[in-house]
Amino acid sequence: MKAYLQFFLLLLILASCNNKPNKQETTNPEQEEGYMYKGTVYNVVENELKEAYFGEQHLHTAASMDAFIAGTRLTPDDAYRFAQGEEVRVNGKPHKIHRALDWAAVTDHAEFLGEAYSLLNPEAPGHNSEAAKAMRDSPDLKTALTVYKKYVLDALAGGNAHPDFWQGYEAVKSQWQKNIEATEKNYKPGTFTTIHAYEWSSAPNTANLHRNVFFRDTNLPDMPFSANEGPSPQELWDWMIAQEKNGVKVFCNPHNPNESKGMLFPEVAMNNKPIDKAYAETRQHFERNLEMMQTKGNSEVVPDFWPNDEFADFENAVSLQKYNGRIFEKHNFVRYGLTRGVKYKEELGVNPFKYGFVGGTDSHNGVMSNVEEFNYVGHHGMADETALDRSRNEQDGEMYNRDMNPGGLTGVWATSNTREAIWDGMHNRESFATSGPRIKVRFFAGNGYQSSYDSYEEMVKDGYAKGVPMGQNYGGSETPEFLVWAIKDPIAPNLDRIQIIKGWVENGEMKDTIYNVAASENRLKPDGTVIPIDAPVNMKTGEFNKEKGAPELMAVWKDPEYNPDQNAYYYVRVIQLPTARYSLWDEIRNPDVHYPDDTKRVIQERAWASPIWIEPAK
Amino acid sequence: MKKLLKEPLVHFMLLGALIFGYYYLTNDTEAPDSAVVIDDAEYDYLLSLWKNQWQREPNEDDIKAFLDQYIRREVFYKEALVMNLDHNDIIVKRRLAQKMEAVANDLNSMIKAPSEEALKAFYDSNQDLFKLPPNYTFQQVLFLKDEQNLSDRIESSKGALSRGEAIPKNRKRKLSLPNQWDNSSLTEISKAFGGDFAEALDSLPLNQWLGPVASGFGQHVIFISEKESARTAAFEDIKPYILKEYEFQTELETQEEVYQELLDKYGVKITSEKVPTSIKESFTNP
Repeated sequence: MKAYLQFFLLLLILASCNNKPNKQETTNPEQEEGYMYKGTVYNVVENELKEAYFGEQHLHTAASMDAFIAGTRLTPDDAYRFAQGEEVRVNGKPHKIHRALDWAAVTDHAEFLGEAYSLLNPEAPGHNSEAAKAMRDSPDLKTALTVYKKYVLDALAGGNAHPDFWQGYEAVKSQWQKNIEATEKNYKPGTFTTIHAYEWSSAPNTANLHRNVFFRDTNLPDMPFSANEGPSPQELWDWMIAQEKNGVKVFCNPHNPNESKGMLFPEVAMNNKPIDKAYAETRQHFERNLEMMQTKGNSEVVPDFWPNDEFADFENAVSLQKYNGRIFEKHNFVRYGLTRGVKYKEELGVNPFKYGFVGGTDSHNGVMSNVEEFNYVGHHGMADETALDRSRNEQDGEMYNRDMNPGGLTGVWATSNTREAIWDGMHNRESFATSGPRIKVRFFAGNGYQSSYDSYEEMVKDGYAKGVPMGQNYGGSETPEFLVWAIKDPIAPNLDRIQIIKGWVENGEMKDTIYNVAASENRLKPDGTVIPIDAPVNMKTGEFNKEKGAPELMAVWKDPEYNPDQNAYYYVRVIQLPTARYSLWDEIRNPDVHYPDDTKRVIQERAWASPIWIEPAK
Repeated sequence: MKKLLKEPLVHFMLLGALIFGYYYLTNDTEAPDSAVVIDDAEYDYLLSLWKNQWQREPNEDDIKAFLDQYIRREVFYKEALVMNLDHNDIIVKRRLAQKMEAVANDLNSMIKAPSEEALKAFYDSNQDLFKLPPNYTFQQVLFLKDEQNLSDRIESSKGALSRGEAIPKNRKRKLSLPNQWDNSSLTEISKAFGGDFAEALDSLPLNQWLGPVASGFGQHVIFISEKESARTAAFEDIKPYILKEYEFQTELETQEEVYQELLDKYGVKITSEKVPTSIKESFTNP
């Protein structure tokens, strides 16, 4: 086994060598059969049924200054290598993910890219400034935080966008170029896709309005647009419009609505003008997916406002309310946002919040999709690197470490593992989020589906032929049939059930409800309720139940309350059987570590498929 | 002599001597050991920190304040040392041990980059590290655990497939998993079926329908037609990777060597009767 540990790495390395059998240099472009990238032809598998490719779309490296100060030294190149299964050192200790990713994007903060360039490169101006030295040499978290406050927060509070060693926009461009190079270097069409991206990190009055920005190809701006240049989303879109005029293909995904203080799904824009049709059109054009879950919480719903949702109490990061006035309010959660969007559709004719779903980590350790509970080593440098730190410390100014989670994952249905196909899949919202496991979920709305199929292939072909996939509008005149299908992660427990969540507007009122549409072991009763399943986790060993549940669930479902004149959306939630949370693994492995009693030890992981909308013609 | 110069401990001692010497030469102050000294260098440092934070010249109150803050910390720090409060403090211990490990790592980077020959020798003696994963071409047919008469079905299916019958329609791409896998790496197979299934392929014979082999999905009947066994990658193809591995290994070795030297220097006496004998001996007679 040990010798095989290295296998994964080597394969990846060889994938980049020119002598790999499925890749050859060509001088004759006419003979190209496969996928051509920068003069090389790759034999890329094309799958007409589409395949679910799993990846990371939210990650910070040492090129994000906050990550650097917390002790992260892994570069974008290191992060991409980690994503491919290679071992790197995280907080000084060797670490890796057990299964390589299919694709990944590094999203360093645009705001301090120039400072990061000075910090990381000994030859760069500003490298030996006092502040830069202090940031590099922080021996512990407390010092790091002091340094951060002194050189970053105080500078910002004083009206300076940058600490004094900032060398100007040339430094920003230089680091952006470094990130671009790492992204190019690690792209292996057909095997591993990288996407050029960054994070725009605006937080007016600590309301999180951050967006990750993704580019389709190498037609890229000289420099990313940061919140320093424009803190309002409309300024970001203006910049994106200018980029599109240059032929740049770009979209963005907001994250952490749970920290948005009402500003992500607002009634008025940041300029205090009511949301109008132009705003809605622009927003829908550029903003394609919401990050459903990441290390700082699951933003779908909270029990406070959805008391009837029995699965709402899941990684809610409740202690974030203790900081920055980010208290929970209904308008800070995804299900509200989707329903408000549908109501805007009725009011303005356009839905500004027409989002598909993605999941990410937002790790500041450079560890792409390090989402498995049993493999969690924290995401914030010195702040949460040990079990003890995770059990008792706070994430400075944000929440308790024990309320953080390893983060989510994105699955994209795409015809091939190439940059264009993955980007297009996300852009079309044919994407789904999971809380970590590699559950796959399909979702179609159409007419004429069978209640079961002899083969997977027939089911998927029918799915596309007779309807639309997740992320689209259902346009038929009859009551839609929703075809939903999910399979488990092969190393995780079986599935419990599939639910369809509906939101709609009725006489101007926003409503939502949950339908159980499939459950393992015939537990779905005619009245729509599900008999609970008893599949306990072994609290001594952390093992999950291997007997119960179903590896696959499928259903074709019709909404009994369907009204063709109502604006509505439907999305899917797949629930897995219970597993040990990282807090339990930490306690099992470290007998001296005890999380406070209110910490969950067992969770039910899940997947969320992007919505399908009903938009009746007026 | 050349060999001696490569010894980490020698570097370690030299470095120690240098550091000690530096402090010996620079700490020629007259003040008694117990006083908190604020000389020009210290004052300039504190001043620049302050100015950096506030972006202006300090007035007298400011100077008083930052000096007060500094002196207060120093006095407490000194007294804490006198009272041995740093001793047996787990955080202090961990921090200092980390610093020593960092010194050992720095030593490693002082040892010059390996020659081509050294790298080749490392490659030759660590072939296990540079093996390519095996690739498989195989077919699989999946059975779920809740199927009735599961083992009978599996056996009869093996028979039918061995007679050349086609995979039945209801088992084509069952749970979406392709039946045919061509020249697939262990990485790919692990992603699709889980690591246990992928590892299990290694010991199976070729060119016959066999199984069941378990995965997280259920039981698989499989037919492996080709196995490209683990082979060692060519030196030239993976040179940057070998270099990285070499540096990683030597870093660990250096750290270990420094640890062993220090262990010898200090020695270990385990007097507790509760520690098992075998463990005791591993420390006292390594």
